[in-house]
Amino acid sequence: MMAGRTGAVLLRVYCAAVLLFLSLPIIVAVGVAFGADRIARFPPRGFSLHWFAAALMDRTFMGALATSLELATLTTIGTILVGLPAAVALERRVFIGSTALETFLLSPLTLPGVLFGISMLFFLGATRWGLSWSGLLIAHIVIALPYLLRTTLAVHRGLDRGLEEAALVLGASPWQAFRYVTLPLLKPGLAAGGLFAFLTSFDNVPVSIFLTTAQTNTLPVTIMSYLVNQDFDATVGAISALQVAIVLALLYLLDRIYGVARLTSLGA
Amino acid sequence: MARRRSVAVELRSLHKRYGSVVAVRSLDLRVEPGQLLCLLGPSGCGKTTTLRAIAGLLQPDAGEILVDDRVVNQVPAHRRGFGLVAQNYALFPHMTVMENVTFGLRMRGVAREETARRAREALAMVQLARMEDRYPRQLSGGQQQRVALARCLVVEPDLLLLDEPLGALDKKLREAMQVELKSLQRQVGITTIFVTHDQEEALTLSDRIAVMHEGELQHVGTPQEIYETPRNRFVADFIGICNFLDCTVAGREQSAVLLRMDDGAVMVASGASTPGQGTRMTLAVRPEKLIVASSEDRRTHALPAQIEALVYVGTAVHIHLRTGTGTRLVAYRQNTTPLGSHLHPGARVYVSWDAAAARLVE
Repeated sequence: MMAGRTGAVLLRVYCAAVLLFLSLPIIVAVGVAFGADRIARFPPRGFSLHWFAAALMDRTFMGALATSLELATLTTIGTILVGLPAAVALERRVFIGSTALETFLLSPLTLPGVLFGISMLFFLGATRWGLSWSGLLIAHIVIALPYLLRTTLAVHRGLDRGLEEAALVLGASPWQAFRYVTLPLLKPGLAAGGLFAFLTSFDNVPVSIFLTTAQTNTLPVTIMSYLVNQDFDATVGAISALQVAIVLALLYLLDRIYGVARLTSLGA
Repeated sequence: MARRRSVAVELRSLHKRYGSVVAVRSLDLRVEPGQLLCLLGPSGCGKTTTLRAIAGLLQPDAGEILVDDRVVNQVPAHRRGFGLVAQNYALFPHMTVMENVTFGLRMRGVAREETARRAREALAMVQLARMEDRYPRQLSGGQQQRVALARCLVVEPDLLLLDEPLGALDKKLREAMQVELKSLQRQVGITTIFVTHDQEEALTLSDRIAVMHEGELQHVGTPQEIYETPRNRFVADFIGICNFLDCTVAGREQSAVLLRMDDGAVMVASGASTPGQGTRMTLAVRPEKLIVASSEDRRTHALPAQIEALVYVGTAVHIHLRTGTGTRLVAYRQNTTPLGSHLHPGARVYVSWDAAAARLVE
């Protein structure tokens, strides 16, 4: 009994240490933003919101935040528009080579982001597409697609084929059967995949950095160049805190609807 | 829910292959209007494939499916107007009981008031009137089964297809549902095809039984015909318990066929035509038809055997026997009178049967 209790305590301590290790950088960055100092330091001295004010008044940061939110939203929508039909087709194995296609569509997961960024840059240049908003959006859809595909396929493969057949025999056309039976049941997969797609786009640096211009600078790229060109000041901390808050709000919303534990388990 | 009409269903040379495996081999079958036919056979015999072909969920490689003499092969599943209850019920998990039951009517664009009225009628018919707002996961297996049945009957299908709908229920509930299903089917008067591997269920429910084995039809007939006069050894063995004895045709005695058993005893069996003398045959006799007697009470045609064990099962005693040549037999003796003292393990006895009770099978 004693050994069991000691083991349980050790496990808790170990887990707490790992969680602390994982969240410490975020705590530092966010903590710094609340400081009253002129320079960034942790733990912060005093308490002030003036770094947040500075960040919110900074046109570069706010413009980049708007760009990132817009890009992440469009990426999510685009990923669902491409990924949902792909998942349905792959699940039904309607064509020869669907296994190969599935591997291909999932491959951005294993490809280093930097490599894909450079390739995309060359592609856009060679096709005279050029650095544009649409090019950036397409690149983000490509890297976000595997997440949506995996979650949606996982849910679809877990569905009973008999449900759609039951709908057909009850008089539903193939489209009605999909619309009223399959699609509603795929929603958790789409929500989880959509969440991953949004987050993938929202905090992407390695791909975006090759494809953004002054007009299409995303928030992570702006933060990065700010850190490269200037000293670390707490404005960055404040804008990071804002970014974290947006992500947390999104997670909270989805948790209310579907339960995050269920959604994140789909990605595995 | 008055029925307007009942349809006849006919299969002509239905054939279906999966790769190199033949699932259904040139099947010919007819179901009369309002009848309940069971497709009975072990798993993999092609019964579910046949049912799915009728439902329109798979295309046969050859052959025709006719409903009231009209070929429906090219009619897609959602335009056939049939009802299907699957083994796992396939209730829509994201819909309430009411939404499940109204699904077919909504897809057909039936007016809202009529939809609600008919759904309530259907739920009342399966005694689930107060479950409308529950979700399938909140129901017991038996209740789910009824919802599936209501969902399917509410659209007033021409043909009811049931794919082992009672398979997931426990024995008591299954037997209760069998009775209910049968009376419901009678009441609605709908032509029904029922797939099962449970021979007892088939005997209880069916107007006619079609026994299938390895994609081929073995015997079609009433439960009594299938049980009493099975066409071949597979049917005799699959339906109920049956004793099989190897023998040689020895001649005729009035209306019965005389058979020489391997230990020399001469026994009788029914048979209109006599196979040639010396033909090797197999004799099939049901356990309840065996008469076990002591040497004083033995009949003219009797087979010596030794009692190996007596098993008391309440309403009857099962007598396990072994013949001189080592063939094992089982005889059921109803507990109407006390067991005689001559019946005990190790006792030497004589087994006999009426000619009409024994069948020659290939």
